[in-house]
Amino acid sequence: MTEDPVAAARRTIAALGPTGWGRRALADADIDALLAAAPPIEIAAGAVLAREGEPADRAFFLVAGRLRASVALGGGGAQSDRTVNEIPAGEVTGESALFLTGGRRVATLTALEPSAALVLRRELFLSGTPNPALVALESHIMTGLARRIARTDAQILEVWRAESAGGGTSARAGLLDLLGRTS
Amino acid sequence: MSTPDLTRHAQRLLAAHALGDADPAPLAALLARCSERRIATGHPLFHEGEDGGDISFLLEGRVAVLKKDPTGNDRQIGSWFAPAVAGGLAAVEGVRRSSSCLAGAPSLVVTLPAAIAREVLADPGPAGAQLRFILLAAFTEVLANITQHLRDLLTGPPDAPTPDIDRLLALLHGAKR
Repeated sequence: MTEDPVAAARRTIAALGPTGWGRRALADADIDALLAAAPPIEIAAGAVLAREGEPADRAFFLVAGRLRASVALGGGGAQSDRTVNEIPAGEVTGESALFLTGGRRVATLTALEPSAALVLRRELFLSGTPNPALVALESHIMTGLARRIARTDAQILEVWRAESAGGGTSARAGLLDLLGRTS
Repeated sequence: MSTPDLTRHAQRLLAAHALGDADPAPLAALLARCSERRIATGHPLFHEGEDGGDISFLLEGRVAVLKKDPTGNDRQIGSWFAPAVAGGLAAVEGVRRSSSCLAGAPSLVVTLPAAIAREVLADPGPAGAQLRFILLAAFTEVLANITQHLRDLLTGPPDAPTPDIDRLLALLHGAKR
């Protein structure tokens, strides 16, 4: 990764401003406050950021690089680890750690290339300190979740229609596709 | 609605969305800005395909969640029980309603109009923070539940049965069966 992680984080957070509900540019001070509360970390290619089954206690806002989400499906060999999603820079993953309690990781996150991410903890969203950068981030997460739900809804309806018509893909292939949309 | 009632409903909504320790005053003040409806059993809250935008809070009672099947007939996929948020997805995405809702029992619903919902969602203050957290918790729970269900199916026996569409839709809409 050639770009400094802090610079990548600043650029990615700043890009959230005009797309959030506030529809306005974020002030440097707002971005600094968010970075102080959730400093970016560098992740080497191949490093595992979180493992399936571990307690979910933080989420990641990827500001550079790319992550792979995989699940263990039992058995040995190639069947034991299946990629269900790839997460590009600009996306948040692991949100259940922020807004639910007591959950566990449903997928393992591995860096596919040198990456950087803000580590988000639940306390950040409960601080009560008004910060437009945090509002923009929350809006970004909310929109992402809403789109994943909408896409999954569309996928289920597609499977439903295919089943009703007597066709459709195999159940397992359809499940893996759905898992990729929800993870 | 009286202030103690608003506070009680706010406390229940917060507790249902992993915010049991939060001060209910900001959300109670937001609920006071909503329009209030008492809905008799069988009467609609909204219909699938309608324009979304406003956010409803089911404060008392139960609503049946219906989805059109491939032939266009309504099929009940589950129910929402108070306290719950109804229609949050359409408010965020500005999309049409993805399901229909009818009161399954006498219910109390308060609705935040779309324009106010957008204003509050963009507000860095405590009411905006609580509304965002409630929606985030509701969306996250839906995705976590369906993901867990899919994982269970995938890690089950290789000859696992075809996924139950009604179950998947209920999980995705946060409805209980």
